[in-house]
Parts: sequence; C-alpha cells; structure tokens
Amino acid sequence: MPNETPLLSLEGISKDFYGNVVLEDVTFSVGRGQIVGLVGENGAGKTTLMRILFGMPVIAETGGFKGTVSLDGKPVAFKSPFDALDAGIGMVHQEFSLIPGFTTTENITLNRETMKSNLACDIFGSRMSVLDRAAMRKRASVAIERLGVKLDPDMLVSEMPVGHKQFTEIAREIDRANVKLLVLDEPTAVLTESEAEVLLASLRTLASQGISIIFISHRLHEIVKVADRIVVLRDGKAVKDVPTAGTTVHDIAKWMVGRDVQASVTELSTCKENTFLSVEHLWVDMPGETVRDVSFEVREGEIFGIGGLAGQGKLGIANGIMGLFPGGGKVTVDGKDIPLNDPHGVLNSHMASVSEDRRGVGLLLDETLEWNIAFTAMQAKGEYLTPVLGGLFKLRDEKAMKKLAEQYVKQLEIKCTGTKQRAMELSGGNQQKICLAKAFALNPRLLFVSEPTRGIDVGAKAIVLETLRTYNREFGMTIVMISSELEELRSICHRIAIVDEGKIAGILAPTADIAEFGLLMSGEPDDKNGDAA
Amino acid sequence: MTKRSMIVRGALLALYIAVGIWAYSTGKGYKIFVDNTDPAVAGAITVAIDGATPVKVRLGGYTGIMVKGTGSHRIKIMREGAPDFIGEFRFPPESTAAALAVSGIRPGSEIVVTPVDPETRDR
Amino acid sequence: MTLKADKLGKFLSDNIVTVIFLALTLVAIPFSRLSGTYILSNLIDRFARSSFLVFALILPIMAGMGINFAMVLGATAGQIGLIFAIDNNIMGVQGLVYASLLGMPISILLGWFCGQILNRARGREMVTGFILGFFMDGVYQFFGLYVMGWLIPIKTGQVAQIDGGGVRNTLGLESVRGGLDKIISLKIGPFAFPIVTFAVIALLCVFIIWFRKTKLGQDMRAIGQEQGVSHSAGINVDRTRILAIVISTLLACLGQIIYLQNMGNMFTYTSQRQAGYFAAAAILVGGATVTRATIKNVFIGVFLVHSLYITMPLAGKELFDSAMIGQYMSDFINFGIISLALVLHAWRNRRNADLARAGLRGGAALAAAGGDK
Repeated sequence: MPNETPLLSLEGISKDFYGNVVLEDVTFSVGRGQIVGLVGENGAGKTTLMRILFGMPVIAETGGFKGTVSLDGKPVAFKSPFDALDAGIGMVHQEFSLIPGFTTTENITLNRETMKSNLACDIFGSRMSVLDRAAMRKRASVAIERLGVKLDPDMLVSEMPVGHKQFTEIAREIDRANVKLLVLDEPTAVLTESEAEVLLASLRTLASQGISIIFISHRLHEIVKVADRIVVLRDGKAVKDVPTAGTTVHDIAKWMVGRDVQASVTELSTCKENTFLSVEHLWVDMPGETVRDVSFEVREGEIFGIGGLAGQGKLGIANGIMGLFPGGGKVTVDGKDIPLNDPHGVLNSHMASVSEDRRGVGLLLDETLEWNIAFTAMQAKGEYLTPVLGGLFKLRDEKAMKKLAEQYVKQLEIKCTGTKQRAMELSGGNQQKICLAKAFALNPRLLFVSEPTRGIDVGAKAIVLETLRTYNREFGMTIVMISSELEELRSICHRIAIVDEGKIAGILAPTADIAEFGLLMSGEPDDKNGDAA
Repeated sequence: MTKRSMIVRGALLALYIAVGIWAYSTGKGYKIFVDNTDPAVAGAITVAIDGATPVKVRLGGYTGIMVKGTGSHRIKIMREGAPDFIGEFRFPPESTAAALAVSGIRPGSEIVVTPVDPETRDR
Repeated sequence: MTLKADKLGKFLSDNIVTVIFLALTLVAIPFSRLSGTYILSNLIDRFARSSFLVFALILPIMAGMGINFAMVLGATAGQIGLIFAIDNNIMGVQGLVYASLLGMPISILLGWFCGQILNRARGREMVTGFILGFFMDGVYQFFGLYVMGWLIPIKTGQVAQIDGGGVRNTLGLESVRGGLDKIISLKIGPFAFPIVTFAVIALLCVFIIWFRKTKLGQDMRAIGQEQGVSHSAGINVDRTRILAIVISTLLACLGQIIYLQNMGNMFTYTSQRQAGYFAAAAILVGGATVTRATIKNVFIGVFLVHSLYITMPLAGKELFDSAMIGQYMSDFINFGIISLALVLHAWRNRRNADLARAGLRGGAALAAAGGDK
C-alpha cells in the first residue's frame, strides 16, 4: 500500500496574486479510492488550490503557480478545465450547474449525449445527429445506480428537491468514461440533514468503486464521518494532514480557525441593560447572502458582532434591516417598529449603515469628500441645505459641508489633499474612513458596519476599529459590526453571533474558546455547552 | 471532413444548381401575341393557353399572353356559334416574344408562330 | 373550491394574451355580419399564406434569444429573390423556386451577420434585432433604389420605377401568383384547400419536431435556459446562437416568398416589415412567451390574428361607420399585443422571483403565523 503511487499528488504548490500570497508550499496526496476532506476558513486558499488543479485560465493569467501537480505519478499541467475533465477529474460545484428545464437524464448526459448519425450530419456536421434517448436514459440509470441512490431519470430538475439536484450533478461527473477523481465543493451546504446522510453514504460507495474524492466542506462532522484523511488549510498553508481516525471535530475546528491565542480584549464600554435593537424572524432576499430566519437582541451601547462564513447570510442582515434588499420580519429600535423595504424611512430612525460594497454603494467616487460625507445627511434629513426664495428651492450649504468634512478629516486622520479631492483618488483605507464619516454625519444612535476592514492595510484597520470603539464609548453609539474576520470581532465586540445557513447558529462572548466559534461556523450543534446564547 | 460527407455536400451543391437551371429554363415566361384578324371570322374570340384563364380578343385587335417555357403549348380558341378549336404550337426558340395569327388556323393545319420584338409590339 | 379558482386564475394569467384576443374576436364576429363560411374560407387561405413565416420565430425563442425581430432580414432576402424572379420573368412555381434559391444564400449571410451582432448584445437581443431591422431597411432601399438599375440593369418594364430609378414601390407578382397554392387546389364545398402549401407547412412542422430531437436542437434548448451552465459543459454557446438566428432568417426568407405568392403583389419597401410585426404578434397571441414557443402556439396565433383581421374592418364599419377605424384597430391591437406580451414577460419574471422568495421565509413565516395566536 505505501509503495503504490497516489492517484493525485500536489507538491509544494505556491501561488501569489501580485505579491499577495494565497498558497504557500501546499503538499498532499490523494490515494486511489480515498476520500480526503479539505477544510479551511474563507480565504484559506481552498478555491485557489482547486483552480490550480483544474487549470483555470485565471491562474495562468495571474502569473501561474509554483510546484507540481501529478496524476498517476506523472506531472500534468492542464490548460483549461476541459483538459482536467478529459484526464478524469470531475468537479461538483457548490452552486448547481444544471439546466432547470431538462430531465435528470438530459442533465447527466449534457453535451455528451448518445447520438444516432443521419444524412443531415454529412451535410451540416455531427450536431444534426438525433439524440438516442433510450441509450441516454440507460447511461443515466447506470450512473445513478453507481451512486447508490434513487433518482427518477425523467424528472425535471426544476421540480426536484435540492438533494436530488446534488446527486444529479455527481451522477453527471461519474457518467464520464474515465472518471478517477471527484472534487466536491461544499456538496452538502444546501442539503437537509437526512439528504446529507445519503450523500455521504453514496460517496463511500463511489470510493469503494475506486474513485478518489476530495471533499470540501465546512460541516466538520461530515468530514470526520466520511473522509479517510483530513487536510486543513489555514492562511494558504496546509497546517495539518492527518488520518481521520482519532481526530475529533473539536480538533479540526481549532486547527482551522487557528491562532490558539486569547483575543486581545481591550477594555469594553459598559452597555446599558435595556434592549435597543430587537430583530425577530428576519428574512432577507439578498442574492448570495440569503437570511432565512434571524432573531437577536442588542443592548443599548453595545458593540454586537456578527460573524460567519461568506455566503451564509451575515451581510444580508444589515442590508435587509436598512431596506436595501427585500425582506420581512419584525425589527424594533428603541421600542419603535422599523419599516422594512424602505431605505429612506430607516435613515430617519437614527440608524445608519456602512456598506460592505464601498466602491459600489458606499461612495460617490467621482465627487468630492465634502459631497460624500454630507450626502446621506442631505438626502435623508435635508441637512446642509439652505432654503432660497421662501423654500421654493434649496441650495447646498457649501460652507457647512466644508466644515463638516474638515472635522471628520481631522478626527479620522483621513489622508487627502483637501476636502475638495475626489473620493476615487483615495486609498482603500481612507475611502473606508469616508464611509464611516458619512454614516457618522447622520448622528445615528445605531450603526451597522459591514466588513469595515476588508481590503485595507493594517494601519488603517486599527484606526477604523479604534474609531468605532471611540464612538461607542464616548457617544454611546450602539454598533452592529459584521465581519468575516473573527479576530477583529473578538477584539472589539461585547458579544458575537455566528450566522450559518441564514440563521443564528449561536451567540458567544469574545472570550469564548476559539474552537467553539469554529464549531458554530461549521453548523455543528454545540453539544457540550448547550445553548450558548 | 469525411469523404462521404464531401460527396454528399457535392451532390447537394449539384442539386442546388440543377434545380436552379430547371427553374430558369422551364419557368421562364414568354409572350405570345394572339392576332384576331381572320377575315373569315366576324367577332371576338376567346383564347386560353395552357389552361389559364381565358382572354377575350376583339375583332381586328390582338392581345399578349404570357406562357411558361419554350416547349409545346396547348391553345384553345372559343367563339360563339362555332365549335371550340384546340391545337398545339411550339414557341420559336431563341426569341422572347412571338405572334400567332388566328387567321391561319384551320382544323388539322399547323399553327404558325413568328418571332417578334416584344418592345415594339407592346406599344 | 379555492384550488379550482387558483387553477383557473393561473390558467388565465398564463394565457392572458390568448384569452384577450379570443374575447375580442368573439365580440367582433357578430358585429362584422360575415357568414361563417366566408370567415372560414378566408381563414384557410390566410393560414396557408402566413403560418410558415411565424414558424421562423420558434428556434430563437428556444435558444433564449426572445422574439427574433431581425427575421425582417430574412424576409428582405426573400423579396430580393422575388424581384429577380419577376425581372427575369420566371413564372409559376419555378419562379418561386428561383426566388428561394437566390434568397437563401442572402438570408444565410444576413442571418450570420445578425447572429454576430446579437452575440455582442447579449440580453438585449430583441431590441437589437428590432433596430437591425431598421438598419436593414436602409441597406435594402439603397439596393432596391440605387444598385438595381445602376449596377444591375432592370430588364422588365413593370419592375422599374416609372422614371427609371430602381425598383417600383409596388410590384405586381401576377406571374408567380398562387405558384404554390394553385398546383393542387382541393375544392370541398365552398372551401378551397391549397394542398401543396399545406404540405410544405406540414413538412416544416416535421422538420421542427425532428430538429428538437437533434443534438443542435438539444443544445439550443440548453443555452435557452442556462448559458453559463451550457458553456461550462462545453457547448459552443455563441455558435449555437448564431445557428438559431441563421435558421430563423432562412425560414423567414422562404416564409415571405410563400406569403407574397399568395398575396399577388408586394410593397417592395414595406412588406418585409409587416411580415416581422405580424409574425411576432401571431406567435404571442398563440400563447407563446418570450421564452417558450411551440408549434401549437403558431397555429392558434395565426388563426386568432387572422380572425380579427378579417372581421375587424367590417365590425369597425358597422360600429363606427368607417372601415378605416377597424383597420386602425387591427394595427393598434397588433402592436398592443406585442407590448402587452413583453410587459407580461417582465411581470412573470418578477412574480416567479417573488414565489421563490416566499420559499426563503421558511421557518420565519411559520413562526410569525404561530406567534400571532
């Protein structure tokens, strides 16, 4: 067994995007019929690693990678995903790549249909062949059988439960004649508990038929259940490569989140006892960040953190409450109901938000800093406007705007040539500060900040966080901070809620064990501590 | 491209051209001027060629009728108080218009068709 | 009970265009005071005339490109073929074959050009196709009024403009009139059935049914639903879209020739445009949407639209003492239907998004309902 060449081996894979290192010397291998569980937080490098494996053009376009990928002991370099498919590597994506109006059979055999040639082919080429539906159905049935599940080959995908869609995707990959290795990216993310069980069982079935599998999931108990070996990626490095036997979910969670140090908790302001914001059964239809059913309460003067993996719905919460995406549920601020789906009304309720989409939603890139900072206050509250001709027109009060901008430039240490500079010309960190200033200019009592430190340098990060802290301490501003960076949340928040699959998985104190956060992010029911909230 | 598909495509192209030639040669229209100047006949006649809608030709006048192709054509001449005359004629080759004098027609005799210039005859 | 009402409501909202049209027709028929025999025999004639044209729209809808307003380009090609057939004095069915043989390569070329442009205007195919039609009008007028008679001499007097510059505005098609319809005309009572034309239409139906079963047809259905997925499965999306447009343009060329041989005259510079509007209205009235069209939709649409066309002018005369009002009404309804169908398309998309959203509420909606009690 040890002498056998592994099916796939990755050796010393490194990759940087213009100096920004995303993978560093990653080495592991996958044996025949073996299931390798690949885990890691967002940004740990899983996606980039898979892109390298599949020869995605984006890798070559950004300068290629270092290291070797070998299949069956021979080094390979795929130029496109189609080469990888030809070599017998199949990919099952997180989002379904199925044609909704096609049947199971049609999807499984998509673009590899069994065909019968006819005279028209001689004239116009092979695409005039007629599909041999009987043979296609047979092939589909064989693939479904190999999976060991029950699927109706004639059912339309649009009418299927999600679990069946996932199986259809996998069946499509194993319908390829020479499939040796399957990569499954979060295949259970959309499945119910019982559907996931069936999927794991069929993965084992496939492995026993000699197909190797790389299983990417953030549901750690699934990894432990199904994988033979576990590879943990953290910050671009393969920090662990261990056999599953003897490994617990708790261990993996710790390795994954890493940095086994206590968060540097600075002194927090004392918040009042009364509930300031209460959210009940909130749902938000934000594409890619769907919120399904979220309820939580925030006390006055609290900094409340919301974390979780990307795509689980944490960003949807702020956007939904601010009325930027359609949603429903009940939101109360300071005892008053907040109308949903009404961005203007929300701004009148002493609330402000800093969007995660700084350049898109957050800023008027072509306008001056003065404009940017005063804009929302002007639009929402009619401030910085002077009535002319008895209120017939309103003119901008340029002087007041300039004064306001100067105040924030000083306070937030915004590096700029002057308040007349255009927002586009500033660095990411300074743009973020402008966004904050814009929100502060509304004098909100409740502030939502989404990903305030995304894409800005360390120094700017510290200033942004310190600013939030200052406003919280000195003005008693209640802040809901949404961030993918757990460390950041732990350093500033009173309490941290972790969102998983559109729901609050649990609420923890910042001092809680790092593994507990990891478990909540992985959607694990926390069996030891019971209800952490 | 396989040899077979090359042959099939070639055949298709040949068929395309052949159909074109057939359509042109058999579908080309020619004008036949029917003169009604028979001294033996007093009155209008009605003429139908190749089963088309009959056309009336007054005494001493003529009318132009389009016929399809240069092959043989059937002509039917009707007049009141006399049996219908049915005969065949061939359009003179290499001309676009011709005149047919009803005066020369007698049962059993050949129908004489003489080429004419359509432009001068039209006006 | 409510389930039944729900079903009826869904049926109505899914077929609203057809239902409105049917209602209009049923109202117009008694007012027109036309006999059933007259209406029916007219319908048979018009059915033979225009169904082929409407079929040209099916494939692009299948390929997710919406209504191919650029089918006008194909109709133009057919008219160019006919101009040459008339000018060369080719008569009868041979004239139509000759026109088709000339028109087909032109339409394939135009279709390929159009497909290229539509690929660059992804997601806005319909409006782009519409404008392309206008653009083609200009090119065609240049050809008809300038190139013809100058580069290509016009041989026959009845084709040329009176003053000699280019092709006439109205071209008589007597020499090919009924070239297809009258090959075999079966008379049953008061009705005349143009058997050969019907056979050609039947053949086209068979072709469409067969085509849907081919690999290319399957690929078109796939890209019509999910371009991204199809692309990642290795289907050449761009090429497939171009082929859909090429075939559509080709069918429009043949359809226009069949249409004009039945009409017997041609408004050289506007007939192609009428063909486009008519076909779009007909397929929509038949219950097709911008994303789904079947052979059934074509037949229902052609019958309904023509029923209204036949009865409306007379109903207008009867009601308002002016046949013109009826004529205006027909035009108004024609464009109204196209607009309505497009608005409905947008509305349906939103409704479906709402329905999908309702699914998201999951526990929240239930909990809220439970919490009230």
